[in-house]
Amino acid sequence: MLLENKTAAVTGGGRGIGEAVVERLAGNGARVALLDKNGERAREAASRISGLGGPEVVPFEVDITSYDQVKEVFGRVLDRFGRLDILVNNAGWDIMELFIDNRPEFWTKILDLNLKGHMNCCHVVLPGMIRAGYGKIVNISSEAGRTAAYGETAYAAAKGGLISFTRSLAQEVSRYGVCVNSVAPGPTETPMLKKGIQLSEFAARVLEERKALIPMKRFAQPGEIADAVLFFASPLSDYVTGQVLGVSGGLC
Amino acid sequence: MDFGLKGKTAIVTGGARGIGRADCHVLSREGAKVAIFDILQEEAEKTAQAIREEGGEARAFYVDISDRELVNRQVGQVAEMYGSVDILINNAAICDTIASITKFDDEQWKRDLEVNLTGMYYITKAVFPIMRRNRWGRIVSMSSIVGLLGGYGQASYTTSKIGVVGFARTIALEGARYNITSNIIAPGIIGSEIFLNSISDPVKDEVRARTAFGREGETWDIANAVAFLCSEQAKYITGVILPVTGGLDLFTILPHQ
Repeated sequence: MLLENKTAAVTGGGRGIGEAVVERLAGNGARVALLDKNGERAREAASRISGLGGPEVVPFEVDITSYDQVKEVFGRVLDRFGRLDILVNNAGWDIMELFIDNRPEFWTKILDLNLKGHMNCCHVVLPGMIRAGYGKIVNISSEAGRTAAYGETAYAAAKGGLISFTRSLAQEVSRYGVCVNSVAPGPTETPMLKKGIQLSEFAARVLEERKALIPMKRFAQPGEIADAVLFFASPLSDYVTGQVLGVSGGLC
Repeated sequence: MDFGLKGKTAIVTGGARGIGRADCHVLSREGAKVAIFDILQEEAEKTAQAIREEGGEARAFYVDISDRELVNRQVGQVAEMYGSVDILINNAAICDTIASITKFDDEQWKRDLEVNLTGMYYITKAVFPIMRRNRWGRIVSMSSIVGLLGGYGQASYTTSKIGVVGFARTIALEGARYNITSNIIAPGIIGSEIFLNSISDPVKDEVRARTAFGREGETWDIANAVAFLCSEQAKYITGVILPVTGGLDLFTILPHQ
């Protein structure tokens, strides 16, 4: 199996893309720490995926916007697994509205979670990877971070920041055998996307227009994003670092 | 990971040696039948033989991809022999012209574009209708990091390699509705025959020092990326450029990112 004897941590692993990533990594032999802000959701997802018969999936509750919490939780992950080979920074959140309607509290929250939260996790996990001389970090960015994303201005800024962070960090840690790459999904059929469409006519309209621009004329499935994450988490990509792989049906 | 390529038929241009040969081996190990298109008949036959000895299915075909008639005929042969063409790896290219612009030979320029660009156009055109009929296809075209960044003394090669990007992205748009994906790999410095045999050791070290990893990649590094982009798992990935460079491009500004 591709990830035999490897250990991984996935943030936002309780549902959507993160849940699919946990399932894919565990299905390919990795022991996985499933991190989510919602402890109940983490336990449910971990128990479901453990039930599929792969290696252990262990739930952890953490708010990644808190550096102290991140430090504490990865301490417990290391106690459990002994080491960490793979980190998938997946937690993310957005509400679609025009920038002119955003409040400063809103974009502070967007940047805290979608950019600084991932920096927290990388900062805590990297010393161990550097000591081990091995590591795979996969940041889930977004096509929104590369193209203009109407109605997602702050989110696009955070994701564009995450892409720049990915490339610079890749340069800094390549000498220690640590690869840092990013998967950039287009709109993906997750619970978050469906809820957004339900709650907001604006989001529904913008996303419908965006779908028409996708050459494949459909949104991504979470499993399709997970497959690209698996590529970056596996030895198949050992000579790839600092790259962004769009999984978006030709959108970009 | 099962890439879902069992029983698929792949054409690899320039498959006799170097990166193309690694592509052939990896696709074969994933269960694909491999047609090796090359002008190097003897070496192509050797590669096919090696794959058959591993238990795979491979045949060598003499093809100069800038010869439209020959390309059409040989693609027809493959389709008849294996019943289909599902995967096309546009790998064949020449990159032996090195000269600064004022000394560049016009005939070499024309020849390089004829092989590296027009050849890829001929074979993609020949294969596309078969994939469209099957409602399934994977095309992976080799650009190069110097195509994206420029390469001193390599006017024809770099021009052809950025041309690959425009071409492959157009095919991505035209193929999307038929489940045909078209993607681009941009290798950095890879330890193929060309790199190992035709560059002096000090220059090799200079080039290695420009990568983040401090070493050249292996042909397998490219072949693994090729296999992933051909896989069932990559069905929603199209029109992308995937640099496999060991971080060579991190030291400069890369367009299209």
